[in-house]
Amino acid sequence: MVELLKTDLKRVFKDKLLFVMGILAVVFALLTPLLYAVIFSVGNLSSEPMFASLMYSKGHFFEVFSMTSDMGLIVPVLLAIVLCKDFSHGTVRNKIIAGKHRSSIFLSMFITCALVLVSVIMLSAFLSLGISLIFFDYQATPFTMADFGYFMASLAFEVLVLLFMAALLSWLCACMKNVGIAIVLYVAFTFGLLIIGTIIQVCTGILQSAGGNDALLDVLKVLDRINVGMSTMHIGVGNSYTLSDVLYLTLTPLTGILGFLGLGLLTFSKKDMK
Amino acid sequence: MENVLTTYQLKKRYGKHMAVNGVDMHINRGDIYGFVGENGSGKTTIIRLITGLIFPQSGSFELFGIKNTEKAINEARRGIGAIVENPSIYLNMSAYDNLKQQCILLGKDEKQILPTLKEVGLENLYYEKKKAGDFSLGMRQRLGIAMALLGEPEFLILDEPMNGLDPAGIVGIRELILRLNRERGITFLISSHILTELSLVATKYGIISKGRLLKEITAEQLHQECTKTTTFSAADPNALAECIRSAFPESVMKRTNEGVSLLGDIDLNSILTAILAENIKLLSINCSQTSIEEYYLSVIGGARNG
Repeated sequence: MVELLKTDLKRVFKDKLLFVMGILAVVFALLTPLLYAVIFSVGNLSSEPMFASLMYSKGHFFEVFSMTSDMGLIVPVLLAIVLCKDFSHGTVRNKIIAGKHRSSIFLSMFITCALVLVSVIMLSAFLSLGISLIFFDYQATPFTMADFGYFMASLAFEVLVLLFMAALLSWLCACMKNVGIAIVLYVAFTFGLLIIGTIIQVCTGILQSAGGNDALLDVLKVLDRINVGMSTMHIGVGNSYTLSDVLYLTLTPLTGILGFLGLGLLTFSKKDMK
Repeated sequence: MENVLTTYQLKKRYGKHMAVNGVDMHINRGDIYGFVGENGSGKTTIIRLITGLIFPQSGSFELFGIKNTEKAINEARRGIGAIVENPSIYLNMSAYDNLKQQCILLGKDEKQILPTLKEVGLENLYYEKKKAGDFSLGMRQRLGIAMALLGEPEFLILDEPMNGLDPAGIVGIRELILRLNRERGITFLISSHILTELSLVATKYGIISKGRLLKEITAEQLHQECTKTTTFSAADPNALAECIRSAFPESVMKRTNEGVSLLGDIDLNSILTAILAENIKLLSINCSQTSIEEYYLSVIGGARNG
């Protein structure tokens, strides 16, 4: 397993696409806060709800982790290309012929994917935080130790979401026939979660304004909370987490991670390799 | 003799197409097994099955005496090196980095890289930063073999190793195979459809067509099958056979309905003198020699007609 991880990490570090990811992480981290600073200085958008979170650095920081943000989409796509090279170049055959277990090969791929995804997104997020602090306050209220605790907890929840993305991506890369299909399915899944989440929120809004059925509202609320694609709507947006928040934000991505890893291990161990 | 690989009724199906259909093959230690068959005959599929890249529908195989269904098969696979279709190399890495990756994978010392590169005649690439993607096909093949050799395999599987190589490249690979077999005792399974090339290295052949292994034959047997044959037919075949047997007891003779066939080079003058001295009435004399290609075509043709 250690040998597999070393070879996987080395091949990723030798790949030019990793540098492309790094450059994009820096460019987006620099440009996004700068653009919002310009937009806010030109027009009075502070009353617009969709821009409210972006009035502060905290919003810019946590926005980077969204599955449908620029980095949230570009990094997994580039990572899929890098990971799938093991199949397109046929180098995965060396691992199998060397007597490595398929489960170890898959898990090594997942760990590599997770490490790169978390590192690049973190780099972009912290750079974005640093740049945005030049133009914006961290939040509306002064930063306290309690805020630091909340920040760290939020970061942990975001890492879980990133691990969920890595598990999904690893499963698709290892089990689809080519990188194109893996990317299309990943993007479709991501936007699928976003669309479902939006529909649920719209339905909830309509039901609430119409004074609808409480039981149905409860169901919609649960569906909204278990949607990992929408979890960034609940991470880093307040000042503290309730117990139910913690449970939803840990158990949901964990279930997804275990589910995709289980699926990956099952399908990869029986997959015919070219 | 110790078996390196034995397959038992190995079958693999892709959709409706039976790619491998009940193959029983036997490779002994020290063999250079030439796996012969037309494109799409199932050679690569069998290699993939053995190397664990794909799984059989039914049937089984034993690698170094370990069955493919046993957990220890992964350990057994560490004793093999293989190039399946194309060399499995990182195109964006140098030869050194490719071999370093393989060293990490196999838990081997990096010190083995230079001797291995020397073994395949690529020692000039040791300090070279050039990416493997920019190598010629021959260099990639050699690098692929070097990667396979790093694990110090007892059994090396090469799928179409001569494909796309220039004559010098073909000679280089051939000499390498013979040297590794002779000096390190490595057993080889080499698939190819270039029969004449294969005949220069193989000690045993497996002829496959449409997923079925039609024949396994040693190089010696094949040589006999392809050797020069002089066929005599006579009015009295028994007298002819007796005459030749007594006059030339060392000749390799086969009885036919009309007379006899003598294999290999013969002294025709002496034989005719002996036959005429016995007053045997000859009806015809026919000289022929089967080429390896003709032999192969007769085997697969027989299977098709059958």
